[in-house]
Order: sequence, then C-alpha cells, then structure tokens
Amino acid sequence: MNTLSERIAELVQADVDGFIDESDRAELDAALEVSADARAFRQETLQLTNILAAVPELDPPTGLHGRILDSIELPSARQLPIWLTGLFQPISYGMAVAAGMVIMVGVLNFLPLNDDEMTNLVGAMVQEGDGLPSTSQGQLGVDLETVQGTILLKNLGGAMALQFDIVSAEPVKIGVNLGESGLEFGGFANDAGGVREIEVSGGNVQVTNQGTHQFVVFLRPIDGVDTGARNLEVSISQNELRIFKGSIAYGG
Amino acid sequence: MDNNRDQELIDRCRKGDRVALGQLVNEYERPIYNAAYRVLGNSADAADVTQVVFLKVFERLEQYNPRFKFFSWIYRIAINEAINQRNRTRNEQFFEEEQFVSAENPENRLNSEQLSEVVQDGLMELQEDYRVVMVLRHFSEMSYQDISEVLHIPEKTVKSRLYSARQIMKGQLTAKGMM
Repeated sequence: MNTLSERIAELVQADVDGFIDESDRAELDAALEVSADARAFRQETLQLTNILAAVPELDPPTGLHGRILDSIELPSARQLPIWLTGLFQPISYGMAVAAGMVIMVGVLNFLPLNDDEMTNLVGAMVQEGDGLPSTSQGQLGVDLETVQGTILLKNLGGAMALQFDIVSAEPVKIGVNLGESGLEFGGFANDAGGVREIEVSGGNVQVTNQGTHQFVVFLRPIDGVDTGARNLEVSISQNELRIFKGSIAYGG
Repeated sequence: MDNNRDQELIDRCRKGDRVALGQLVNEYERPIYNAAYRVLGNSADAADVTQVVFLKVFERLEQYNPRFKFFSWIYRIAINEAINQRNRTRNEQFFEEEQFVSAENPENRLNSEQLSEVVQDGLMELQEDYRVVMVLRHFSEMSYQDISEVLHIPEKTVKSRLYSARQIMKGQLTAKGMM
C-alpha cells in the first residue's frame, strides 16, 4: 500500500465497504483531514465501488433450473403409501359429486367422498399394495420456473389413474378436466404431503396443493359412454393465473 | 442467506424432499451463477459450473457440517469448481463472441450491458486470486470474514488482495475513461 500507510488504506477500505469500527472512525477522520492522498484514495475507492455496484446481476440461462433439478437424485422419497390394487372395483357415487363438493384433506392419506362412499372406496383401495403399473399410457412433463414434475396416466384395466409427482414451492391448483373424457372421478390417494383441498365439481377435479405433490387421481369409465380416442386435460394455476395446460391422449 | 432456513431445507433434502431441493436451488442458483460468471467470463461455462456445484453439494450432503454456514460451503465449492473450469479452458477461446465496448468511444454513455462487459473485461485481466476476492466482495457482497471462510485465508490476506485488485481495476477503468 504505497503512498498511504497500510493502516490508513485499511481504514479507508473498511469505511468504503461499510465495515469500519466506530473505534477506528476518529483515526480515519483525522487522517482524511490532514492527508490529500488519503482523501484521493477514498474518493477513487468509492468511485470504483459505485461502478461495480452499477453492474447488473445476470439472469441464469433459461432451463438451467430444470437441468439442475433433473441432475440431482435425493435419497429415496417415500413411496406413495396407499395404492390401488390391481382390480378397481366399481364405485357408486352420490349426488354430492355431481352437485359439487369441497373436501378438506388435512392429514388424511385417503380421501373418502362421504361415509357411504368411503365404504366402497376402502373396498377399492388397499394400503401398502403392490403399486400402480410401472408402464404408463401417456405422460405430461412440467418444466416451469416455479413448478416441475411429471403426470403419468396409467391403465388399471378399465379404470385409469393419473399419477402426479410435482415439485412446487408455491401453492398451486391442479385441475383435471373430465368433460369429454368419458371418465368420472373415482377416488384420490394422497401421500402425506401438501395436498390441502380437493374439489370435485361438474366434471372437473381440482386439487389445491402446496409442498409435496405426490398423489393419484383415480378415474373410472362412465357407464354407457364410448371410450374411443380421447384426451384428458390437465392445467396448473398459480395465484389464479393458469401457468400450464396440457393433454394426455388415451383410448382408441 | 438464513443459515437456519438453509439447515431446515438440507434436513428435508436428506429425507428425499424435492420441494426443499427446489427451494434451495431457487435460493442459490442465481448468486452462484453470477459469481461463476464473474470468475469465468463465460455464460456457458458459468451455467455448467452452477449445475456441477449443485450436483456436488447434494452428492456430499452427508459431509456437510452444520456447524458451518451452508452458504460458505456452497460458495467454496463454486469458487473451486470455477477455478478448475478456468484451468480446463485456459487455452481455449475464453470470452464469448462479444465486442467489448470501450468507454473511450465518443458516444460513450454505457448502458448496463456494456458496463457489465467492460467491468468483466477488467476482472479477467486480474490474476485469479485477486479476481475471486473482488467477485466475492463486490458481486456476492460478502464481508471480509465471509470471504475468509470461503477461501480459507486470513482476513488480513483478504484485505490485502482486495486492495491490490482494486488498485489494478482503478487503473484499468481510468484507462478506459470511466474514472
């Protein structure tokens, strides 16, 4: 530290960086009072600091976030604890479904529609079963800045299962439009995660979710409806704005 | 950077919680990318380094000692990885195909992108240990103590390198008419 003493240069740097101790302040002020070199050094250092502070922060390249997440394997997350058995039993539904209903999931791993229907659903699902089929009929990938994951459609021998594995730090609403699908809501299995609410209304299933997003929506064919080639529409909304929409073809 | 929050997220990651992983990546992706870019001067390399940093962090998660700050640990990995990347590409074309704009140009009011390039030009002319200290202080906004922890060097050395680096940068920017 050439023309300045090392001590004064250190004090000036600490001052410019905002780290000077109050106990050193008087010493620096005294040096600045008597030394033009000290004043010039302080002025130059401040100017340099201001220039560097004006340099804008850079945005990481698009897709880097997804690349990072895709490349990292964490220790095995828990498997979904509730699975459907290989046979999906017919389930009868009350008028409540058609009329629309909202059910708070809370800590339940398994979601009944009401007491009567619960009996049927319990008959249709088992805890710690063999798992869903490993193969899927179709899938959707979600790779947004705030939401990533996959949605798989699996055939259960007539009935279908939409298996969601979604990562999102913020609350999102995930909707399944069953309108023209020839399917109706058949049940819901939730890993002990972030699902807070599920709404079944007018051919739509909407799950409000935050945190862990591993769940399965079970769908059954509507009696008497042709199950030719069809699409299942899935959408994701955040803060009431739709941020994702996709469809999975099946049947035919 | 809240170390308690980081620790909570790390604990959840250890249990396989990918939401926590997403939150940690959200928190650190941008600052790590920016630090890597300022050390390397190349966007593609900085992106690669950022990805490798996270990969290594999660491969070594069991080695992380919670007594130390997570951000110091991840920055140390980032700086080491950036230096390794720099060494691998030292003999290759180093800058992206960009024309750095001289402030000596008569029409010399720099926009922020041009300012970024001129400053990056100056950083790349610094020797590596000076550049790293400049990046951590000015772009990662670390204290002397944080830089000392990340680089495993005494605070006195941090201050000395910062002084030397700044003197060189002042000379460069003065020559470009910016000071």
